[in-house]
Amino acid sequence: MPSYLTKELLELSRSPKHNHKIKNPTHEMDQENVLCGDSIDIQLMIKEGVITKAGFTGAGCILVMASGSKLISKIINKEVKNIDLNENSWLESFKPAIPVGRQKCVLLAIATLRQALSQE
Amino acid sequence: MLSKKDFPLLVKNKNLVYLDSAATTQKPEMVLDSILDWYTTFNANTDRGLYDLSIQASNTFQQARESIADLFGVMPNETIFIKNATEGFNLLANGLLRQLKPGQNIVISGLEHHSNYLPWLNLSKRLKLELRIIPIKDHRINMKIAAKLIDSDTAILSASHASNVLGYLNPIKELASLAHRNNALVIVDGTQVVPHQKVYPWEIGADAYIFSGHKAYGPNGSGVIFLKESIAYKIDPLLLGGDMVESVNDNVVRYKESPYKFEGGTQNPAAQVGLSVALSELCKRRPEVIKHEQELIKQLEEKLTNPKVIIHNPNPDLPILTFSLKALHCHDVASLLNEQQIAVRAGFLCAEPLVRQLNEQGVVRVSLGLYNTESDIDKLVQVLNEICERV
Repeated sequence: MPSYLTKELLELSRSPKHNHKIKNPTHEMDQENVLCGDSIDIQLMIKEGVITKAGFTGAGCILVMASGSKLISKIINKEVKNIDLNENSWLESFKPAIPVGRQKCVLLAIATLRQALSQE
Repeated sequence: MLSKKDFPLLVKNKNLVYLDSAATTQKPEMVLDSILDWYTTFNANTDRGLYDLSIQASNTFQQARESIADLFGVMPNETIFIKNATEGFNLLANGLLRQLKPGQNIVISGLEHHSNYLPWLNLSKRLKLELRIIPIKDHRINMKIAAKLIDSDTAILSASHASNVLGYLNPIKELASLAHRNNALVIVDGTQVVPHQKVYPWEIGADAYIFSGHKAYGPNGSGVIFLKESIAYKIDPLLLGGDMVESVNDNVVRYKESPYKFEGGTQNPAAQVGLSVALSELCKRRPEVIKHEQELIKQLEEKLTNPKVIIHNPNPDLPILTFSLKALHCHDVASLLNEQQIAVRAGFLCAEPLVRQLNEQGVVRVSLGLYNTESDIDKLVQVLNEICERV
């Protein structure tokens, strides 16, 4: 069985993209995984319904950091209304599949993004 | 000695390397048989029925109590059945509430499992008492500071016999001596020690000694508080209701004596009988079990030489080794080990204040049982070395 720990995830967790705060965010949200204490903070600049800038900071396992990095890369320059916030779709984008016990690590970023976007 | 072949789950899962016995042990066939035997031979509500089956059930349940009491050198009426250590600490914390006075303090150590921390934290907040936590020095209880923190206002000292994270035996006798000099009650969490060492609670100075049965090869839902007869009468029961009263007349209730006043409601005799079977067997095999486990943990420490592995508790007294990998979160380590069917615990191990002192992001814990073998150790070391190469 191939390991969930792919070179891509390992590399993303070591050198995550967009792993910084942005200036003057219009939306921001931080969340913690209460089971393990891993945390993530997402900042967004949204202009006329488009995410023009985004960044994240956080502390946690490979999956938290890699998931945060992948998610921010995916949403920059996207219209908010076109962003897929479905948890299952996000989980399915990780191959090989993430073990059940670790799926919360992957989902922390998307749950935080959903909360950030729900702000007025 | 008991070995893997005596544990049906390990027989069914031949490739499983189970290294999480400090969380819960696997159950030997004789314990599983005793549970089936209870339900197929004795099952009736205990201490209630006047018919033969109920009397046999009550006798069997009482024999389990007597057997466990005998193994630990205490009296049967000092042996209270509980479902786990968490229940035990909550029972004592709530039961002692009326004994505490303003200005008194409660002392615990910085090594405690949440089960021996949160009930006292809650009690101290409710009564506005000071909760004093003895700090840790070089992963051990700092006895110099303990001597200052335990004073004439200390009502309760509650400390673990050994930490579930570090596996070092704590100086309970010395702590108990400090506490008793100040007339404080001494409560000891023996959960991690009972599976690995012979214990006589009163000899080490405990007034109450608590452990979970499921970590000592007994069934889930089994456990014990040993509580000195001379103290039991001062403690209120936690669960009020069936079977724990002598009489109920309007507003006048007379509780039974200990242990029965603490065992409200229908009990789980199958679990406690199973625990007595497990402990009897364990005590019979004690010298060889200790030797076997000590050899294995020593081997593990000697073989785990990869420089990327940081061991937090060198030379543990119990077969527990806690470590971190320099470049990998503890949950990733545990998941990668799981991919090779190696079961370990990772995270804060229900002892978050202590673990955060070792590593802010949690640790990995390997904990052995009597069924582990040298090949388990070798597989763990081999897979850990492979993980270290990948990261």
